[in-house]
Amino acid sequence: MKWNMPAVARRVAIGLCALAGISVFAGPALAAAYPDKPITMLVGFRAGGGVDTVGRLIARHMEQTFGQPVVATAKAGAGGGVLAAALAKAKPDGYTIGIAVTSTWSFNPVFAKKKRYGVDDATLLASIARAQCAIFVAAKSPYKSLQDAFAAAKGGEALSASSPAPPATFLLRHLAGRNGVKLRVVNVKGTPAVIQQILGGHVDLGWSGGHHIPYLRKGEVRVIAATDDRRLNAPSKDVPTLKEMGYKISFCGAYIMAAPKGLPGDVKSRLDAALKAAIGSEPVQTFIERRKLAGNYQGSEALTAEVRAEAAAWAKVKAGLKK
Amino acid sequence: MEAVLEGLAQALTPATLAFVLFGVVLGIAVGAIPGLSSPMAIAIAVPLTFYMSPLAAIAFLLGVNKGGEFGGSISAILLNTPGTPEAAATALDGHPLARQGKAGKALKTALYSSVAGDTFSDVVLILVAAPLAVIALKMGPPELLGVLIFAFTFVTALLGRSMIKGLIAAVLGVLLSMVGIDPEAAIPRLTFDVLELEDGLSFAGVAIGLLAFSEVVLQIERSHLRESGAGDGMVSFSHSREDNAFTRGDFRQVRGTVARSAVIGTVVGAIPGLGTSLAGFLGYGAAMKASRHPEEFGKGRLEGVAATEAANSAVVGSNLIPLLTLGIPGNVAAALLAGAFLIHGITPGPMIFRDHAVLVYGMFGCLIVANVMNLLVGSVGLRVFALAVRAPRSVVMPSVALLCITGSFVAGGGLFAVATMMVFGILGYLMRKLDFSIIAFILGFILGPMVERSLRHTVILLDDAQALLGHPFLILMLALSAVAVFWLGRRPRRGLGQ
Repeated sequence: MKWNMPAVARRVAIGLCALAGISVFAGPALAAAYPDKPITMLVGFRAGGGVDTVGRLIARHMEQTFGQPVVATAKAGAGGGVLAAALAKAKPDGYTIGIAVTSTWSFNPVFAKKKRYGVDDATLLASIARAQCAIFVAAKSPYKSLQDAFAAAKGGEALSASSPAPPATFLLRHLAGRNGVKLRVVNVKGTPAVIQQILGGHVDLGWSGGHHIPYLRKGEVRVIAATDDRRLNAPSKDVPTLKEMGYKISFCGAYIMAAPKGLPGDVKSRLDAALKAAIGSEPVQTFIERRKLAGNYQGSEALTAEVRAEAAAWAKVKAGLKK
Repeated sequence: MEAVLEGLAQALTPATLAFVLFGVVLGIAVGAIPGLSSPMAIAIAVPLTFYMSPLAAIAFLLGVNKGGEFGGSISAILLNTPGTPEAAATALDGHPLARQGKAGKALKTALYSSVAGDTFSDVVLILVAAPLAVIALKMGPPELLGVLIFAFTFVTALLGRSMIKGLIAAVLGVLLSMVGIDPEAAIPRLTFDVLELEDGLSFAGVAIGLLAFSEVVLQIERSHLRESGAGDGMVSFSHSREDNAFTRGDFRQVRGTVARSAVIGTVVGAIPGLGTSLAGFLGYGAAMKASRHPEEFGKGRLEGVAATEAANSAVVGSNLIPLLTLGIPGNVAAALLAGAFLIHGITPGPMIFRDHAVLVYGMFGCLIVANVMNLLVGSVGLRVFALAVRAPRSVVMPSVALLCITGSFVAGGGLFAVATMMVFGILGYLMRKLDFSIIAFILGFILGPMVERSLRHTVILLDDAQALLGHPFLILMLALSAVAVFWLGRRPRRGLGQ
């Protein structure tokens, strides 16, 4: 058990103040000693999944750093939207933080029927890990590239795709639209269902954030496009990204931490440091490796810029769909 | 062969056995407690297993899963409050049996049927996983649609005493299952601008409210009015040996039913996306159709209990078929298990038999061990449950209410699910009062979205009616459904109590 120096110092200070009968003046001193009470970490997705698990691992590490409990609390729903809306209303005192994914702030507010929050209603703190997002086909499919598939569709072939998430659906429709072809997209619940439809030969194209990798290793699927703005890890290093193919859109998800907007500077710097340490810690990195994600620590500024850019790109896609 | 022996050896180490035992006890407990279910326990346990060895973690979670399937029947039989949604049909005959003083017999039937169904499906998993997986892969949207329509037709036995009221309840269930983001157009529907509704009504909230909380409301009313029926729903254990024993005659009575349900549960489990509750309902429906005394179902027929329990437990093993061979989880519990595999760096799917053979065979060993433990713990537990039922209502019902609240909070992801649970508790109370079948409602709520998704996928993927000809399996299923409707309509409907 390590002594937490600020906490000890605070206790001593409070004790002295109390002795002197001036405890009323302890207010400002307490604020400097953030955190002096438990922190709530709202989790934007249901218990048992990746976001929940990594959130709890980070919470455990932050507890050691801060010497205060960090309580992971469920706030699931609407792709992290329920959490983001709650965060937008919470007090920016550093005692409420949250974990969700990039599309929670980049995609959801753009396509929401009624806007409840946006990127600017949150302080995005850090990104944790990035998925390996790709468009893939069955190994026995005749399509060797995305262009092959769209060319065949132009030639009159029926082309279909399976998507596990609304952003991926919009992405696929946008790509087909740019090529002037019709793509039948079915929306399934969860990536495993995409795999089933691809392997069973029920659809032509599939999108996944990394579930395809074991099937790729076994030679049952072929990756034909990286949908992130950067290349995929091995074994798909040579697959071109959408940007390299000339499309102006990219989509991939990362787990990210956030807090309400207007966080005091000193609180934010303590959170930044604690999160950086937690994300770099052994359990979190082991989790990332085991889940076949890509380690992707980014600090507040870089992350915010990235999510803003993504949101702007989605706004353009939305405008294009309306035409 | 080496991997098989090594795996079995690992399954039989004291540490692994202890984790299986702990899992089974926990599973039975959470299954028995209305408001808590085994997927919920698994969800909470998954992050904890990060620090365990992979086999210990999986063994523990399998124990929870198996224990939970039996546990759900305990409160269904004793309290008329199914501990889990898949045990909903168990209450239909289990509770009347308990009222007749035959609680011991009903519980034993549930336990033995559950373990028998489970064991059958484990054996199927171990022996023929690979060929079955290929069939599961071939189930595209049109084929799934066929199975679902047939299932929907077949479970009309669960509509309750009145066909009209049963249909109203089922349609209401379908309607409320449509709340949330439209799965294809991604546009919110029936959400009234409430953000929390965009994911739909939480199934945990709805099921816990309708099945468990409504019983609490009913009991509050009864004690408040001091009706003569205040002790209603109370069950006592008869002192007669016959009423508490599972006799040779009982075995002869239910063995065919258990066998049928075990097969139904195994098939349903092997097809991704159908789920445990449907298996239980189908097992019950099939038993009723096959029985020479269908009119006695719902009044305390042993086969009713056996049919449901064997079918829902048989899902547990066969659900691992698509998970282990294809990496495709068939239901919520399997999806959570997949998550547990992943955090240990093991990707369930085609590679697992090659890359982690020892683990897979260790797991098979654990499955069988868990069945034995389920039997032992369940048998010992029967005495404990008897005590729990003797606890006064004034203790039992507030505890149930508290668990309904915590359960919906955890499983539904927040306070909104608690509110949902309470609203549906009141709806369930009204339905019980007006004799609308709660089971029909839940059936609609579960099957509605599945039918919608597969129907819309079929429409998107197929050009016109002619393209249907490319899917003979769908045509076969539709034809069978039509025959079933004709057959059901021709025979006078028999009453079925709740």
